[in-house]
Amino acid sequence: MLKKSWKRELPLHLLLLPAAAIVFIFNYIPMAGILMAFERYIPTKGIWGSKWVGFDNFSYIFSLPDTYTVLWNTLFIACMKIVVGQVTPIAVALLLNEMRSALIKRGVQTLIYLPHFLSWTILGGIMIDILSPSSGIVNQMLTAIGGKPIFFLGDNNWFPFTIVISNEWKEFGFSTIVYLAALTGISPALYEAAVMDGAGRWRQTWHITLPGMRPVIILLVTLSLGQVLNAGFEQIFVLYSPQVYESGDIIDTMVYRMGMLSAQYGPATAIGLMKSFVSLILISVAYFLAYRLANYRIF
Amino acid sequence: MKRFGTMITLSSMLAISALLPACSNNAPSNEAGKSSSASTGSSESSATATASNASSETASAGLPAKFDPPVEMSYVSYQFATLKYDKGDDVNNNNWTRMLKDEYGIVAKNVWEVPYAQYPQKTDLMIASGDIPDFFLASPTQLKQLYEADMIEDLTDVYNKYAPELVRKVQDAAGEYPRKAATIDGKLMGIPFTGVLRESVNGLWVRMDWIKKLGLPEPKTFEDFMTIADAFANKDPDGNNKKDTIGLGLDKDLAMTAPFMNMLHAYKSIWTKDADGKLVYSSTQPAMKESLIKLHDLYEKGILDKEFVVKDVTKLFEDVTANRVGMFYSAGTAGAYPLQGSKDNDPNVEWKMFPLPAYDDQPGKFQTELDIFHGFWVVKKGFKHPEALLRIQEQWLANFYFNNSDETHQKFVSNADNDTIWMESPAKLYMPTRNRDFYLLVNDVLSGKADKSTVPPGVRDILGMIEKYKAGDNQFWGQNLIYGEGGSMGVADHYINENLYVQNEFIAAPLQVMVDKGVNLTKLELDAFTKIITGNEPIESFDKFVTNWKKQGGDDVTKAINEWYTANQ
Repeated sequence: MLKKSWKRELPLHLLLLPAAAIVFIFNYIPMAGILMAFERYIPTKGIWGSKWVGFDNFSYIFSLPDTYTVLWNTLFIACMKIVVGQVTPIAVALLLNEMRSALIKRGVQTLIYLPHFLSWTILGGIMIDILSPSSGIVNQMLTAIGGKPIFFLGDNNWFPFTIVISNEWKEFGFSTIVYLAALTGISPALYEAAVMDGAGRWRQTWHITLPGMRPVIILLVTLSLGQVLNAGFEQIFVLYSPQVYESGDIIDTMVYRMGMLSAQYGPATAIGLMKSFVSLILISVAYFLAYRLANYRIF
Repeated sequence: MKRFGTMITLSSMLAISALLPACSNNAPSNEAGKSSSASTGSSESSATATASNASSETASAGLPAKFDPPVEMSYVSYQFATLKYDKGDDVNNNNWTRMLKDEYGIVAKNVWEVPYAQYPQKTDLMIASGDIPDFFLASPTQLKQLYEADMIEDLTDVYNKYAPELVRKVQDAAGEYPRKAATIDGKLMGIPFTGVLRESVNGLWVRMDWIKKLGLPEPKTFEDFMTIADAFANKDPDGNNKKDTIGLGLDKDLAMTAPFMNMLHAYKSIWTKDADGKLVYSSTQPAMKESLIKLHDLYEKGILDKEFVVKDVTKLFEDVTANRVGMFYSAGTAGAYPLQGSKDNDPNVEWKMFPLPAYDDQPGKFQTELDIFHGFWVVKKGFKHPEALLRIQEQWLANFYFNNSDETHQKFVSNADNDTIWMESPAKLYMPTRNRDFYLLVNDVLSGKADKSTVPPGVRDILGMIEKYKAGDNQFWGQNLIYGEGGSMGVADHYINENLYVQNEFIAAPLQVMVDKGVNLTKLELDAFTKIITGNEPIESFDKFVTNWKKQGGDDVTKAINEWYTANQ
């Protein structure tokens, strides 16, 4: 019996092979590079030939005067991104769900999804134009209603928020679609029963829609907690400038300047490893909590 | 390609911090510039060489006329995305390799060839594996490592005994620094791949039609400069009744502030000699404070774009092309990009490049880095005929630069079907003043001093374009701006003749302490300078910056660099 099913499933397992091979080659083998974090790495000497320095790279990083500012910037921007990145799509998905016309619903869905496909390299240039204090459309609207122009990208008080909001504008359409997909899975019978019991729109949302979305919400929140040290390299790299180093320099941009521009591969890898380590812990904790509190398992 | 090249030229010319390896930064620019010029045709150089050709030059060298039996030389190389081979040809069989084999008995054998972006990494791996080819181009850091690992040949005697006339000529034109940088413990360990930094001076580009319209003087002195900048920003030169013009264009990484500082005898992020002969960091000197005061003044008066702090060079060039900028600093080749775009958008626009306006009775000198492209040509330890490398380089120069014949030009540089043939040469050197020399020849022909038939094919191509421009084709306006009468290369010529440069005296691969402290010190400097210019911090905070710079590692770096300097004098 067992043998028979094995025979039947074998081709399916074989189909998995290329994917497994790719993961092994591109994700597992490069992990050997982690060793660089504990070496004074010199490219010509290679990973095996460079001098082993233990935790020197880590203490070097924490001896740099601006490490803590950079760490704080990263946490601040990343946490805001996580919160806003969960709340906005849920709200939009709920609103779209109440839309009676399928045409408008689909149209809006597609439109808000579009920016997701643009790269930050292109958007960066556009952002600088539309956020310009003198000629940008955002500030023109601000002045039209009597406000003062704000230098969104050049003012340390505004820069982190500009980053969070522009990122949300780009990405919320994508998450919204995930939530909308979750909504279609809720049985219409539940709504019918609720209407019979006299529940209005708010009650239906609160007692049926949101609980129905719960597994997906938990999944996405759990996964996003791993991003807590990930403030988004690409976006910040194209939008920041020396003027906003104070509020906008994050771990990744520092690693870039360290690793790519100054060829300090050891410390750059050390920071990367530290980030992955923190992410691993947070994801594990969140996963454990999700299992305990919501009885939900991802895997 | 051209666009990218010019961008990088700028950023590399200006933005290179002294704490980064200069060579790897300006690497793609020169090559890109070459490829664009090669597509328009190029070959020759010095005015004196008009009558010379390949065969007459080769006789003088102490090199054997032909290796018999032939010498096989393995090498590795990089290419640019644009390279293509003629039908049936490949990297080991093309016009260049056939010529070297048939005429000189040198069989160049390519081990691998990668896009330029991958070259540094791939050579690192190759060196790590311990298996290097007979010759290749090594970066300054690699040169040091190869020397310490005793993997490369000492070329001192080889160069002195065999270096052909043409190679010496180009090396001498590049000045003493490249060879100094290639010398370790008194031994010449590599042949510098000479670059083109000296003719790429970032002169002051000025909107001449605005000057005329507002009745302003040409920028001869610093006062003129300030008057013009102020008028360009505040007197509505484009006549649209809006204050939307920029007096002086700058970029967020402050790369373009360097020529302004040079004008005031301050130098940005390089190591210069002080009165005691010690090396000091130019950004912490009193002259720097003075230029930051002046820049802040420009910012306050609305002459600088208030938003320059978020715009990189590409973004600034968009403003230039949109004809909102009155003045900016850039290399002579800016005539092609971005200025051709400016002309395309408005045919009434006129630009001209000027030398630095005089701040006092001393002319401003441009700061300059070690003038090499990528690094040094090295020969594997124990290779029997290191002099063969010099032959390849000589042939490259003879066919690419010092050639008057159209036939040779089409065979080795570019023809109608393929403008990338020149890239196939196994080893290259750049003539440091090629564009300047072209300018001189073009102007000799224009003024009737020389006949068109005596100049190299590349110059003839440019003359053709200038003729078309004069006949009313604005498409070639930019070329005329570079090479024509009063062209930008004339300004470069002035600087080259008068030798008005301040060289970054630190020309070795970055020292360990520079690498350790560099990231932080660079950030500290950019942060402080930006804030002082925009007035977020008072000018007094410059002194605080100097203290912090010293405390956070600057003193250690200064000490290490001076130790290096004493040891390498």
